[in-house]
Amino acid sequence: MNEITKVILDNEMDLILAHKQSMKLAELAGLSLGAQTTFATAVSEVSRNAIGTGNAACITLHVSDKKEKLKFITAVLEDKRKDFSEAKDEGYKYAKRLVQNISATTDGGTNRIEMHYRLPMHFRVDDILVEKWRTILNTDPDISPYEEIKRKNLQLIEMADRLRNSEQQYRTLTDSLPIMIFSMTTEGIITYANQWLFEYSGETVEEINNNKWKNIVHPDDFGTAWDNMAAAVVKPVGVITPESRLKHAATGEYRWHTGVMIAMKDDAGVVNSWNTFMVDIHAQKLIEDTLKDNRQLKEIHAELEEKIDLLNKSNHQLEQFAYVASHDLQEPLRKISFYSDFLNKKYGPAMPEEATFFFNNLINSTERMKALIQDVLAYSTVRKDVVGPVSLDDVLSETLQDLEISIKEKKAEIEINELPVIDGNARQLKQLFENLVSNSLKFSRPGIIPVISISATVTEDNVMLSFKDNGIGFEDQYISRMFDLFQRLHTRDKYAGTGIGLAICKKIADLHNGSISANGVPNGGATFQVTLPLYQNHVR
Amino acid sequence: MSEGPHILIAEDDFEDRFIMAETFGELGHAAVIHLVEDGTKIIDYLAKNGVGDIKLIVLDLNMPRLNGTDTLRFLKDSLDYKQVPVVIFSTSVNEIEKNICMSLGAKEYITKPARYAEYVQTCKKFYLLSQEVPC
Repeated sequence: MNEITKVILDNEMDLILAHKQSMKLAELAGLSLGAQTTFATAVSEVSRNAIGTGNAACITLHVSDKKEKLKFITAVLEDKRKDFSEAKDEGYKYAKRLVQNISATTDGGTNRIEMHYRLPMHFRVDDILVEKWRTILNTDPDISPYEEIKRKNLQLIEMADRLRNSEQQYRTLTDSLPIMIFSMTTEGIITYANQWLFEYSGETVEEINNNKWKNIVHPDDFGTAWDNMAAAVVKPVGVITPESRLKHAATGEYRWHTGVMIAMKDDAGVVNSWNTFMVDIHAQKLIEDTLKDNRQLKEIHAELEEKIDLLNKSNHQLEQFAYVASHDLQEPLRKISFYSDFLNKKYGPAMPEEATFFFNNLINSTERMKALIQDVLAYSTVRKDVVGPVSLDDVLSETLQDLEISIKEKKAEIEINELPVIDGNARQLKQLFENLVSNSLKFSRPGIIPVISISATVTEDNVMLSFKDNGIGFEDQYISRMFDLFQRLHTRDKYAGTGIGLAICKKIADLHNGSISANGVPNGGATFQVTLPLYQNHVR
Repeated sequence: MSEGPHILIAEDDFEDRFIMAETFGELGHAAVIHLVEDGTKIIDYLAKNGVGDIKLIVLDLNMPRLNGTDTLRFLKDSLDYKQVPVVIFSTSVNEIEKNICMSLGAKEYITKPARYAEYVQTCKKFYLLSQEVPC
């Protein structure tokens, strides 16, 4: 072993020195702070009992020789205590637990305790190292215990400052969190609250306690909140508060909050206060409500789609029925017509005049029935059809062409104005135009030249078509029923027709997502207005 | 014995057959009409008797076993019969059906009338068609 340094143990101060030197040696040997402390403690423990006049105790510190395979730092205590015993010495027994190797011998009145602390396998000892260590441990200026204590004091003050700073940061953090933190007694009186509670509610702790939260909690949630508080304090464990609305003083807005109450117990295990945390969940609550609304909306939407589907199916079936029925009904009618004719022709000359009259009535009725059925057929075949851009100018000119004979017959004057291009079904729109113009021709005033004017007013989304005539007009009271099926304003001997024309016009307007209306003055003409959107949603 | 043109008519409704017979009868001219029930009977007749004096074939559309359109197709596909003019005589006013028949080679498409007077006109027309020289 190579001796590095020696400490004579006369008094307590030397104990400190011995401890210090041991720490230093262990540090130089590359041991961790914990290991340093352990070694130094072992030294202190055995040294403690050796101090005293007459004992001539001293500690020497060594490091293994370079030749030795296993490397240690070693502390050797030598003293002349008469009463030293391995078994009885507490210091020795304690040190035994701290170092890897320890031995005690007594020879000629001198006790020798050796304590060896293992160094890592890679540790190399050489002459240079030994010299260096000796220099360090022997020439370090003596620091008096007083200075030692002073230094330790400074360290303590430094730590206290750091703690205070940390506490300050923590407080700043908790104060700035948008979470209310407060402590309540079991009666609900606040004893401590963080800054946020004050900032949010605008009330001091005193005010809140005096008002019992009345200005803060939403009136609807007030009773429940206090009930829950009362119910919670009888429980020994923490509880989640239900959601309640608290008023934000700055904006006057009630915002949803939820929180936790944690029971704080004293040393006897009795709950004496509650730490409560309340957090703003307003945004989440809104999202939750919106999601719920969305879900409900989706359900309603699905229901609606189902109903629309059923309606469409029902409509389709009705249309099919109308088509098939009218088609099949025409067949027997044809026979009735024929047989009536045939009978009339074959046996007519032999029949009394009255009989011929009856036959003619029979035939007329049959013809009317045929016309009715054909109209029902025509009405039922008006359904959703292909849609594309349609020039209403072209539709009008085609219509006037088709009605040329009638127009010439009545010597009617038609006033044309520019009409736009709109999305729609050309065939149906032509049908609409034809029905309205032919009505105007049919219901003209006898002896007066019919003047029919057709014009359009275009807005951003729609076109309002106007069909105005100077015919016999009608009374306002009929307007509501005019567009119903088979509505006629006049007896059939005066004007022919089944009364389906306007019903078809209405159906066509509806199919185009538009509308139709009319007004008239008895003997002062009629005006029919058809409003149609310019654009339709369709797949090209 | 009247040696007029022969007209072969297919009509499934017995009343319509009666009406045809009566109306032609009333006209009192020389056309000879043969009334059968459906398309298969037309083919049977032609197979048995050949075209012979048949100058016009009139077909109803809705017939059992073999309808008008299929009969028409058969007639126009066959080398022996395709030169005989065929007229479609139906209650249907369906434009699509009419176009199909015309494109298959029908000479005319006539809608069955309801009034006796119109029936008479139709039968006269059949007679005239049967007298046309095929081109």
